[in-house]
Amino acid sequence: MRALFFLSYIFMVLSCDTTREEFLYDKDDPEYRFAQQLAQSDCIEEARIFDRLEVLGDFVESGRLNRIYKVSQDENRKETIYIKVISTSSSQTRFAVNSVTDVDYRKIIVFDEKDHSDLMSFIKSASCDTNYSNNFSASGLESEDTLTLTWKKETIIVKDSSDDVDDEPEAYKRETDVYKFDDDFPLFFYFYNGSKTTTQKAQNEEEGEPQKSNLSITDVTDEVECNPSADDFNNGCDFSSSTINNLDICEIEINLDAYLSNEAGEELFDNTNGCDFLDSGV
Amino acid sequence: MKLYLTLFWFLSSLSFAQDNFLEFGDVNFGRNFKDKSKWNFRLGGEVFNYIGKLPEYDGQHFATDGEENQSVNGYSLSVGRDFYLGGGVSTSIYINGYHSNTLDKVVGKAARDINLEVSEVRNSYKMNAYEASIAFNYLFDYSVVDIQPFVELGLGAGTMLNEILYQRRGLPGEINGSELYDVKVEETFDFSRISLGVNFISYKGLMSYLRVSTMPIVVGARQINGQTNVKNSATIINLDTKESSIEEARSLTMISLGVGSYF
Repeated sequence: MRALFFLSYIFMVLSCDTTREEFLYDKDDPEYRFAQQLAQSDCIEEARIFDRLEVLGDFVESGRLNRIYKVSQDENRKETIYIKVISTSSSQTRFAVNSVTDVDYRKIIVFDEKDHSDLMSFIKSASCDTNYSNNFSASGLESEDTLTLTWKKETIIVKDSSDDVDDEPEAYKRETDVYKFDDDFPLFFYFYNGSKTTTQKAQNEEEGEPQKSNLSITDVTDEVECNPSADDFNNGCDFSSSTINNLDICEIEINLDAYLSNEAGEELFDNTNGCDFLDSGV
Repeated sequence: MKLYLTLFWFLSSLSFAQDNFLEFGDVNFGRNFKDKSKWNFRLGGEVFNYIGKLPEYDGQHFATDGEENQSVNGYSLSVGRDFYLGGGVSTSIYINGYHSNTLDKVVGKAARDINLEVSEVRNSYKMNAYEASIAFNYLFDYSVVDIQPFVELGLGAGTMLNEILYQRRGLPGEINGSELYDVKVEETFDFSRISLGVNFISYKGLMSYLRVSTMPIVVGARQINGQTNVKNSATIINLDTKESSIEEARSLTMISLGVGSYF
């Protein structure tokens, strides 16, 4: 027994192969930027989720024509909208949005190839470009169906005072958005699937309690609330021709510069021009 | 880590040798065993420096001027017979076998904030050797643990295989940015060994030992197989060579720790 004990020591000592890491480049080296590019392309190439999300760019094949989705806010505002995929073509998908509580959300959203391409570009950069790793973090890159992207934003209202040593701005608004990209839904719907948390601090005051709100999306195509002949039919799910014909058009415009600024409140979708989107309740 | 394990192992073997501590009577190794010839079995661990000869190379993250001084771990197995000469003096004759297999890996990451492996160097040493040796011992007969200093002389032969694989990925913006150094060097050698050491022996004949050796070696033949490529060049250079009767002399230093038994 003891002999085995000593033998195990011998083999432990002798099997200590060494592995060590060294870091090759500083930010000033020309190779640094090249390495960033290579790390990004490796990350994109190895992430299975991107392939799955790219498939959603085939609007006809994956557009889920006539599917109806319900988007709900959580306890804070309890707003609900219904979205129906009313047309798909190789270059464009149209969604009709209806709401019984807020007419501002009623519209037809036009989402075309370029929007899809821009969104994919954003997702890949935010997930894989180390330049943005302070603001973005992604989980689920190896997943085949869901990617969760966390986006941290900050607006400094009053800069850090030189009178203290806390290295924190005197007044600020911070926001953390969590988006879930799910291949069960058209890519655009990521905006309706996640949470937003905001924290604010006014000058000479303590930081306020974080405010959190969720948005969730479900497929309600076959639910009673979207069956016009059912007693529990919800008028928000009314996508009759007369309703759709009265809706204004919203052409989505994706602002790819938004994620470079990382200001609190910054969104990828420009919600001017009649594109008022249901947001989380904070 | 290695140091702690080695120290722990060595101290454990000492306390192992003292497992009759506080027992009454003279129960040490000496009384019934020391004045008789006996067999001996030893198992040990070795650390030695090996100066390997390599083709020269000057890459971005790996370079060699043709000589690599490498610390190599190994273990040894010895079987021998101890002949008692009288007056605490004995001589031992051993047949020894050595084997070592050491891998040293260096991963070159782009930067602290970029999780990208740009380069890797894998350097492995595999040695096999056999040897005949003779030791001259003197036993200090103490009541708990006997201490037996010795001088040992050995002659043997062996082979050393040194494999180095260095690879660098080309980066975007570079033309022919990748690098390769894939080399195997196999040397056959003869060696002699002069050692000073000490055995710690318990009454049951169980023992630990510590030994320091110097080993002049003469490399008789060397075979190199491999290829290299450097940044900014698409040319792959073949390094295959075979040398015999080169009679190249070097010297190694070896430290050994081990356990064993007289029976």
